[in-house]
Amino acid sequence: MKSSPEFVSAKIYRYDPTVESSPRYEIFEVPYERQMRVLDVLDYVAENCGVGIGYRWFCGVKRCGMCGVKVNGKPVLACWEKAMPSMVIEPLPNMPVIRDLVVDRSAFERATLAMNPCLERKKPHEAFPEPLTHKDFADAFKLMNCIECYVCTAACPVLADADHRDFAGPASFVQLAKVALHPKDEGNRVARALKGDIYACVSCYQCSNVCPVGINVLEDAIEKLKRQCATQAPLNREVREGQIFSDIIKEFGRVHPPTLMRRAKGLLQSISKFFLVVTMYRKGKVQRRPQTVEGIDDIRKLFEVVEKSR
Amino acid sequence: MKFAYFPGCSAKTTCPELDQAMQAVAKTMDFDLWEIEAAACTGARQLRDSNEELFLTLNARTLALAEQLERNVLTVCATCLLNLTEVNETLRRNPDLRKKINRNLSEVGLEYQGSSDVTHLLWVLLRDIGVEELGRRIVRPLHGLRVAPYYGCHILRPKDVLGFDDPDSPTSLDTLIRLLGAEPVSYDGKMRCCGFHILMSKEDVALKISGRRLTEARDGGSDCIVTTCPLCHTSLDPYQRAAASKLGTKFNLPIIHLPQLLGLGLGLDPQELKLDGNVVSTAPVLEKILRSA
Repeated sequence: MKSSPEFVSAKIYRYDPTVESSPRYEIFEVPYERQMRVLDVLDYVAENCGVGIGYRWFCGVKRCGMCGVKVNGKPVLACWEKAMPSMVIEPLPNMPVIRDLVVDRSAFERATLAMNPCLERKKPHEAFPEPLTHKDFADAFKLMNCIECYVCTAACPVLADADHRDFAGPASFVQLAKVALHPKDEGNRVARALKGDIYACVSCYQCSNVCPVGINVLEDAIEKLKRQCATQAPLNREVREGQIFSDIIKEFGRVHPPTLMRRAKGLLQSISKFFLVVTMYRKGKVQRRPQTVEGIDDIRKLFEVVEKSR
Repeated sequence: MKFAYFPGCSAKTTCPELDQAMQAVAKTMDFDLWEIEAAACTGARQLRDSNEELFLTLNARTLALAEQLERNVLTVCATCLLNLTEVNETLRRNPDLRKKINRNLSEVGLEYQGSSDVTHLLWVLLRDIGVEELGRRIVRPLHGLRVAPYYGCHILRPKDVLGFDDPDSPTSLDTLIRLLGAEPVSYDGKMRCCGFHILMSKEDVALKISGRRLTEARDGGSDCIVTTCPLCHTSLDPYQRAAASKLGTKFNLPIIHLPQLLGLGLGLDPQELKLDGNVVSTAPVLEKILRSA
């Protein structure tokens, strides 16, 4: 049996941008109690260590979504994360720090508002009650557990590594998908998804991985929104590129990168890759012509079968 | 060990050195690989983002072809691993959906049963062969080489589907590097994204992401990075120069495929492993190994 530590060591990020020029860290030794959470550690420090540490929480039971922090590199909810013997506690990344562990989420909250995440209907249903089955409702229902804690947005590499601020972030897409997948909604959700630059998503599953309420953000929100884009916005550039990818599989069974590049980007942009292509060609990484896989007839047949069933 | 081998598009086009190294390693390790030559692309992210039924049908076909061989599928591509595993798990769990997909497959005389598993070279090495047996096979320890393990995303996440390693602090590749006698470099980004899946549509964003990974590995003092997926390899190797100029810096980091690094430890000749097929020269790595040997 593992013995519990007597103390936990918490290295806490301290920063007040109104008076300090750069952040610093302070280390606190906190007496360990059974089933201690990160929030309990923060409470102890605030109440007993004589420092006015800034952190935010409200419900303490994974409902309000206010206590997001980064613990040992991973965005989590302080109220739901168990205390570790040694912790580095920092504010959520991708958002400006107001003080210590308190961040300003307003940029992403505005992105969520821009999605207008409430049902849009042209006119009320004529009869009462309006029929609605569990099955119709299932996809949207999965997303209703979202507590808007923005922990997923804090974990996103498109924001963290590339600082690509056109991207609305996963949390806002969950709110959008919640209505877009709702059978009663009639709003133009695809336009909003594209405005939030949904195709900048790198499909890395970090959002799904950190979600405190277990929503598979990538597959159950972002991917399903992309499927709506694919059917409703066929002229969008990224949708068209996806279609070209699919057409190439139908034609050859396998992707041939030069063909994909030429068809998706056009000759001019492909030429801008001249040096890269030459380098790769020299290394045997570019085949001039696409090779067709053995079972191509069956593959094409399946494309047609699925097409017909749609 | 017998496998239905699924190299994926990348190992057949942009990363032929990966396919060659895998075949060379298989020979030494006594793997019996039967390549599923009739298989289609697993669709990367594009197919599943646009047409779920087609995604399920094409991958169920690949799995059905492996089932005919009565073998588990072995892949060297993490995205293929995830796509095939996910389709397998979805269809195993959902009999109604399986019936529907099998109706499609019946048009080409196939039936998916769910009897084959999908695995990756890294998993086979550590789970099936095991550290002890593998350790006995290492004849050329890579002493003194500092290797940055790069896991990427689709071999770790989603954990409930893949479940082999911890997505927040993975250790399997680190273990393997240590077993090979080399030293794993600890750096922040080993389980973060390489940006590949938006490399075509949003190159600027993708290069900033891959550039961050390269910076972390370089600043950690790595001699090279080892990858488990040819898509990550493409982001980090052929596009390394582009990432460097995007970030206004310089990298000279050889990016080595997992079977290439393993092959070196198994005593294979660098030529057999096509180490001259990587874009960033692997010569400094070979020099270091041969000097210490």
